Amino acid sequence: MKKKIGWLLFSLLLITAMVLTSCGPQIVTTTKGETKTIKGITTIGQTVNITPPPPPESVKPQYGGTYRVALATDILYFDDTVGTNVYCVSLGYTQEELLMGDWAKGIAGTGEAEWMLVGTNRLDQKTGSLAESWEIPQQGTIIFHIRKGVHWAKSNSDAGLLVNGREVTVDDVVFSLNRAFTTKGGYFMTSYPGLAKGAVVTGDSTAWTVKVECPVSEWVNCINLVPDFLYIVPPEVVNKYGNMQDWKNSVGTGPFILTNFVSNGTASYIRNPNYWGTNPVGPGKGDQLPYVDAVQQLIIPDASTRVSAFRIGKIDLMGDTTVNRILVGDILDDATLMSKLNVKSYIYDSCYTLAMRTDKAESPFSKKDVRQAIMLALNLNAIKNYYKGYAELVVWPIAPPPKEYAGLYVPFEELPANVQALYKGPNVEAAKALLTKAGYPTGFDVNLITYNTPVFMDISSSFQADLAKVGIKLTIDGKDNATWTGRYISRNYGANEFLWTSNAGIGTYTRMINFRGTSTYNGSYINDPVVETAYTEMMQYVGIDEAKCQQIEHDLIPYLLEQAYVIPVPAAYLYKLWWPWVKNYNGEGSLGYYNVGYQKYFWLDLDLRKEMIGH
Amino acid sequence: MQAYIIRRFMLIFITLFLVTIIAFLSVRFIPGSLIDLMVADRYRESTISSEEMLASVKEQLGLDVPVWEQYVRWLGAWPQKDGSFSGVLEGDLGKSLWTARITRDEILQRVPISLELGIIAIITALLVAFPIGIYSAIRQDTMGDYLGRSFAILCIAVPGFWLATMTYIYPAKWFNWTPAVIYYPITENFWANLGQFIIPGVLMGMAMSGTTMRMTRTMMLEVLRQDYIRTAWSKGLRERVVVVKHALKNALIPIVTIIGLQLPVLIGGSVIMEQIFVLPGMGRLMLDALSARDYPVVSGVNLVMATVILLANFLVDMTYAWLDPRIRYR
Amino acid sequence: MAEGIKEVDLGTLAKGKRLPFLVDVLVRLVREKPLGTVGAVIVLLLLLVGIFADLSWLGLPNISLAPYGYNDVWVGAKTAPPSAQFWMGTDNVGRDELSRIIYGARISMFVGLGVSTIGIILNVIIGLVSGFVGGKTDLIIQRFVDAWMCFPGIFIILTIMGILGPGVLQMIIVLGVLYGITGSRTIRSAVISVKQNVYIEAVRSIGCPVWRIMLRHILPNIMAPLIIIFTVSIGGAILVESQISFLGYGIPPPFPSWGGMISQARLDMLSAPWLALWPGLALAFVVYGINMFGDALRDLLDPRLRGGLGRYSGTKKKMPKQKAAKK
Repeated sequence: MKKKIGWLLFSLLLITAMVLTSCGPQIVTTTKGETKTIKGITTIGQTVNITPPPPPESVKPQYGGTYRVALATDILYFDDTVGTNVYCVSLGYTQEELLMGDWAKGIAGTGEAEWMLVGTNRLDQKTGSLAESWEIPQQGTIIFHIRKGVHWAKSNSDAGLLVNGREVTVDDVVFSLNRAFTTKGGYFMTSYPGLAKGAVVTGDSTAWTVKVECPVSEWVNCINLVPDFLYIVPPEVVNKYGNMQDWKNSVGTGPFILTNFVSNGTASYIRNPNYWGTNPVGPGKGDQLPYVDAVQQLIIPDASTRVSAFRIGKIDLMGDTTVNRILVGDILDDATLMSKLNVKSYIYDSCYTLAMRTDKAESPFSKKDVRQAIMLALNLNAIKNYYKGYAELVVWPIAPPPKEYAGLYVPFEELPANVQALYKGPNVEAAKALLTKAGYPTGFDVNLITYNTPVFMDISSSFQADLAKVGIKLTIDGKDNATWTGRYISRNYGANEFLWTSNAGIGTYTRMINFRGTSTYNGSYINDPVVETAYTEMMQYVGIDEAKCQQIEHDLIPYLLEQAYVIPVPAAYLYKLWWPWVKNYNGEGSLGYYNVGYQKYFWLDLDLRKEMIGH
Repeated sequence: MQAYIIRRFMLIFITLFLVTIIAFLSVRFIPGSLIDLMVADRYRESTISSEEMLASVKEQLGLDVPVWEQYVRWLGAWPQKDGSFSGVLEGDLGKSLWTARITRDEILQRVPISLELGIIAIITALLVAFPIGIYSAIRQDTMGDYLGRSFAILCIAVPGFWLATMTYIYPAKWFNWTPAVIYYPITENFWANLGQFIIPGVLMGMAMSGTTMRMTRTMMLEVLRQDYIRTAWSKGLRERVVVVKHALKNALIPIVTIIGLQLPVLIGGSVIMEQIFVLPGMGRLMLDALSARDYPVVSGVNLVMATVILLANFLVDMTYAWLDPRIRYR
Repeated sequence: MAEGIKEVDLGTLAKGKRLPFLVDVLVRLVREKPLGTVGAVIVLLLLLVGIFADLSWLGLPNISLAPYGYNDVWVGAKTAPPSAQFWMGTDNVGRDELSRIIYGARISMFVGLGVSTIGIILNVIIGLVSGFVGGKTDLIIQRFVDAWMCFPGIFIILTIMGILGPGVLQMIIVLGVLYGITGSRTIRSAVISVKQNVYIEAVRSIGCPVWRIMLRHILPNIMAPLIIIFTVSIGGAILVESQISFLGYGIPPPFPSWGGMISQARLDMLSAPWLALWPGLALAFVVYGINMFGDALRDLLDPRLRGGLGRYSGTKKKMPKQKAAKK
């Protein structure tokens, strides 16, 4: 009998536990999410208080030292036909392209370019790399004059001995370009099949030129990609090993030679003693590059570990796209540390926005009034607080740009008043009025598909609360990265759905892919005749008159913003932080279009380093 | 005895077969396909429509054939699209869909790291757990027992990842020091390597020591209840002799189980420690491959881990059977 | 009849003052195992805090233990240090930390209890069937269990969470199944050892159906290991859930899982160290309590630990001193 009671009690406990558990998730799901303000605590200010970087050095550069930088993800690819150029991080050190950004036009020289964004692609600011110069006789043809006297780097690997440091020939260049266009499964054939099929590459060994011809319809792509996005590789290595994907087969003309790579560990490079390049500007003009003896890329996926390593000088520079206020706020607020460091802030050109189907007639978003109503209802300024105030509001289609693209951007003050009003929400009455006018007096239901990291979820919750006030019921559907990417790529979200999307970088502005066309970057399925007119006009000036192209886009922007095709989300300021012993560096991020090989220009002041951190 | 060994060995193969099928299939059920991730990667400001890209990528990766055909290809029993054989039977365990690197090489590069981490962790765990467990058993319910057990339980309770993060953040600010961020293989630089592994290893070991201590204590308590201990006691032997000579030796047999149960750690690594302390180990490989839905790598890693675990269990069982004749005749 | 020797009525001794099972355990717990009692108190505290975090499940959402909701944002009060209004400070979005800890206790409680319940049910089913029926069924089931145990826990959790999607309920199911299958081994060996007893044979010989034997005769005799596994896996589940949430794959934001809170606090660790402190302490406290409680229960209930005399009797209760007749 006693045992029975014991049994009974135990079972009751189990059942209670189960019942409570099954009621559980519902209880925990109730979110309130209201924002309240408290007396005495005010919103944090917006000014970005950063030490400006030092002026270009007037001291003669020294040779020597090891430069260390951290990567957030493993290096997966060593061949840009296997993986995208963007992820072939090592190739920026070991290989070269036909053209590259002109360092002499950067802050170290004339200062007309800042070279901070990875996607900078102005042809008129480039200079020769493996090609000395180029000509464009007409739209559809570009002729490169190949540099003489460049040698492949000598190394002791099998591939290195195979090439044996011989001179680079026109045939090498032709081979590399053709390889990029014809490798099945390669980036070009998959992403730009029209260009890959239509491009014709011919080389002239007597005149040392390479001519690339393509159909006029592919001219914009050609100009954007061929000069500054294709790495030149030695044919015999590719012919022997199939591709360059094995790091041991790395052979290039670049400033550094890859000596070791441990997957998810470290990549080590040493200086190429036979590098052809010299310093074009400054007190070190004429010096043979590179200055540093060795480079190490440490793969540290954990963000706080990276920050700690930087803090004590184990890595010399922090500047990837994750370095925002949330990550390095500690360092930026530490006055003692900041007095020692150099910092530069910028806005990344690829920002997140909320896209919606403006093309479906049954969708409420096909009406401009509804879209404007949504923007009016949202408190976009409050999102800035997520980054402690250090964020920008107007980031679509162009984010606040560096000097090179200054002609594109329309500052907030210059926007027409009705457009400015859209960003000054929340304005519940105006929003409700517009909704009623569009035929939705009681609002409607929307589903938001989002990536379920804290940043996205918090911003989504904030939107949810704001929209509820005008009668729009927002349901948040948080997905993990892979699932969200799938929805984003397949672009099959419905008439009543929002989707977080990101936009293409500033270097592609001439192609206008953020607001026309069939690519995923046109998240809102925009198909607007005004845009098409502007695009046709743009096509006449691409590659010929950069200022005119920027002007065309500049004039289109107020119209696009008034249409409220996407809901922009304030983008945080990003930072480049570096220790002062890294000289001749002024916050650059890439020298041209995804060209991370700018390390050849700077030098390390080893005495200063020893003074500051002891070794 | 022979029959027993052979029987157990056969069972391993069956289990292994089951494991490969489960591993192969289960990854494909996770939503969010590899193809979408890859397209997102390759898309890079392209203007062609996503359907075209999806189809072309799918075809390149060999995912446009039915699942059973992919499985047989992965086993290595069927040629790949270009005619070559690659897979389990070839020994290279397939190629990564993302980087085209051979899975076997990746695994071989990572195993020593997880192994070293695991060994340090197990040694720490045993060094901490044994003395405390034994002491708690022989002085049950005394102050020493309470302190010892509290300490061991605290080792489990205090989250390892919390301590690990703190070892990076606070010393950087206070002492201008962080644990190592560059990995040197043990053959290259022994002391740097040891320096990097000792902190995560000890932290892991401390976390494991709690369970080990509890098991040791239970084993010792059980043994101490036996009649022969009472006999030894009544014979007037000193406590040390009773404990060491009689109790400990008999308790050591089940200790083999304890170590056997920790073996998955040696091969599986600890994802959190590897992530925070920048160690390129097996746990990270598994996590990264799963996040990227890299099917061959996930299947390959699973196969390797399963084989090691099954073999380890087999060895443990054999040791048991050898030590305890009663088991052989089941 | 010698003088001075008390006459004892053997009948009463035999019947004796024996309390019902659970109460007896409780009494012995308090009397003999002080650490275990502390653990029990902590477990009780967790349950109470979790249940009374707010009373919305009773339909009274405004009465709550937590001062504010777990997702109420105070604009302008980001990472504020502990103050009179926010006893534990605020997190990086501006939410009250104390409320989040309290709601986190609720999540931990659900995860812990839910996982243990599902785990124990699965344990019993698999262990009983496999252990009692034996033969071919046992062989096949054990192969599946073997195969299951070959996968590192992280793989199983990530795969199934990937398929089911993130969430509290999914987490509970995954961990419950994980614990259920891996723990069935212990139950199976307990069942096998109980099966050897003569009374099972006796009951079988009188024609008792299998299901009745399993439920009525075997199950009650393996209660001790069951209870122990149940209590211990609560702690284990809470810890594993915090690790998975730390990695970012478990309970998604904005739910206040303690592990997830630590992960988010890492970025502010230097300027706001208290943010990582509270959830870490809470975790340590709760897991410590559960484990101590489980240990004490095991000491009290494990049949293998009974018996023994003198020094190694395992309990402080000594044999009643026979007051020898003294003149």
